[in-house]
Amino acid sequence: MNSAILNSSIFELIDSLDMPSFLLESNLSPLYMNKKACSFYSLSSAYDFNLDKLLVPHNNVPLTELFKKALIKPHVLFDTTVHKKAKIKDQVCIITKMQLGNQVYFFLGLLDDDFFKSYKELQSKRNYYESEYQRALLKQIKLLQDDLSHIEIENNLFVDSFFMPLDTVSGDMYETIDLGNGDYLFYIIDAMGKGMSASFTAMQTSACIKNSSSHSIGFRELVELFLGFVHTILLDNEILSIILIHFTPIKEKLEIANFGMPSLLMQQNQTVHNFYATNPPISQYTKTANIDTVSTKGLDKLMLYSDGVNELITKSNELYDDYLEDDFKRSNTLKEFFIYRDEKIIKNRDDVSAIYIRFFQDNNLIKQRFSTKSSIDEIGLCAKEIKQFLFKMGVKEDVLIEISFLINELMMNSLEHGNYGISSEQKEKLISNKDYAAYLLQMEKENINKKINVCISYYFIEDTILLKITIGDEGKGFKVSKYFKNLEVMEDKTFNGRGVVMVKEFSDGIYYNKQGNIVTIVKTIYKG
Amino acid sequence: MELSINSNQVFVTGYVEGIEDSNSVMNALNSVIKNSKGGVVSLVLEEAFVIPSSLIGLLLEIKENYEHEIEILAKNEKLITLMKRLNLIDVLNIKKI
Repeated sequence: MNSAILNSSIFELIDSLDMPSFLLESNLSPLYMNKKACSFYSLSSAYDFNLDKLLVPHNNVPLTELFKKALIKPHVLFDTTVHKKAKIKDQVCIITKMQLGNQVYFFLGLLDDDFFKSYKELQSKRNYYESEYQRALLKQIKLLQDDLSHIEIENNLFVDSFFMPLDTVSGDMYETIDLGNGDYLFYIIDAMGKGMSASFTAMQTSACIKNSSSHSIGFRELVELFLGFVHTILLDNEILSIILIHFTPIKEKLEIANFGMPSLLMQQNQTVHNFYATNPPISQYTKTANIDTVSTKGLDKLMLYSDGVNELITKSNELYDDYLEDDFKRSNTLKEFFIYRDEKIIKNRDDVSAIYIRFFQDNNLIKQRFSTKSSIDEIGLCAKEIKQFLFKMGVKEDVLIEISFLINELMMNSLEHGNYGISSEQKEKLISNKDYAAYLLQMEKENINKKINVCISYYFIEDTILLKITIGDEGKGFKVSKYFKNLEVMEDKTFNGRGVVMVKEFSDGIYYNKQGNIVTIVKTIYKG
Repeated sequence: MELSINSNQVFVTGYVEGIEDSNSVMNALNSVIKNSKGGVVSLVLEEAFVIPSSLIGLLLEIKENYEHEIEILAKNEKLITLMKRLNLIDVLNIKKI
């Protein structure tokens, strides 16, 4: 069939359409338009049609980009403002790629008013539900009590957590609670099902545990109280899995109540142990609980997690569970664990929650201490001195630049927010009024003798070298858990607050002491 | 890190590491702003994969308080990814070169 015949049949097709329609060549020059388009735009010929003058996409995407998208997707719908004479009208357009023989054409059509109405209605419903789900997730995160993530809970004992719902709201829930007197409670709930209903069960259960844990009762009593409550909220055929651990580091004692959750992984003196569930998932009929007590002597790390972490298929079509223990063993932090895991899996199929507790034994290490006064110049000099030390220790150039960036960011934080005591809100205001530089000079005069102390520890763990950098200031500190909770919902246009996000990105873990005036970052710098 | 200025463009080669580097870039940007009447001020980053938060603050300040438009032209894909993560691509007009 020659191109003239092809063209004539496509022209006929466009003529038969009940909407303003155009046929464009692959270079976007107009080739043909139907009568509807002719009267809609008051054009006498398709050649008078100027895309950029007549259509302005609402999302600021250039029209040429939308046409490029049509080469990949069969249909591209987009909102536009149509300039018709002096009037401007909102409209929905469709672009479709058409291939006739070897020639590529684009079809461009303005959809009719009925379609426009339904499309707008659907769009507004979608926006409503998206914003409602987003609020529900924020509420779930707000309700979640995470006292201990990013905290050094005892000397050299660091806690990390990870929580990623598959739906916007989740049937998984985790909490980390400081019970006081060196006692800590950690738990992960996995309520049956996904989405809203599972989320209600998880939230009610966690409210009960939170409430019970505030009454200074023993672990067994807490578990029994919680079991009694769960009976009242579970439906006939519903079940709930949960792992609770009560950790007393000073006594090297761990109590575990595991109801149908995956095993707790614990590495002691380089050996990994699995502590499997000793209770079935909780149903309406569960009456008793088995609680295991284990010693944490020689603890390197432990991890509790939901089945979304291990029950999935790898890229090579195997069960990820078979790799879990190895990835746990070679990881130094939770972030590292998830890097190894995510290299293997295709995508998450369930809610994912994990809590990771890491202890760094004070052996097999080299330590070097640095100290500086509270001035920007002194900090710069100290950071250079540290960089030279790391260079001498053989840290490679690319890693050295990352570490140097991390040290500079954290020392500046210690100076501004620690020793100078400038709050984020105050800094924002000072910058906004262009008074910040002068205020820093004034603070320098008043606080020059306050110290910022840096300790670099070099750990040799099996065939790995791990760097632990601790920076302390003389400031009052801050509420760490609240800060990290708010970090994710930061405004785009505030002048400050991005340093810690970037530190999280380039380090393998960031932790503060409970007071918030000593920060520790860890980074694996060599893997054998 | 090395700096050069050409009209309204500040070119940075190497890495913007510490406070000293941040201050140098800030001074260069301030001098461009002082010597020009409005228009677009470009910060061209050849190698940098990260920029200190203090420098991000200054760039936002320029955008907020001066008549000048600001744009960052970055070569390193890692920097673009990080800026996306910080929701700064549109705010600071960051483009890949």
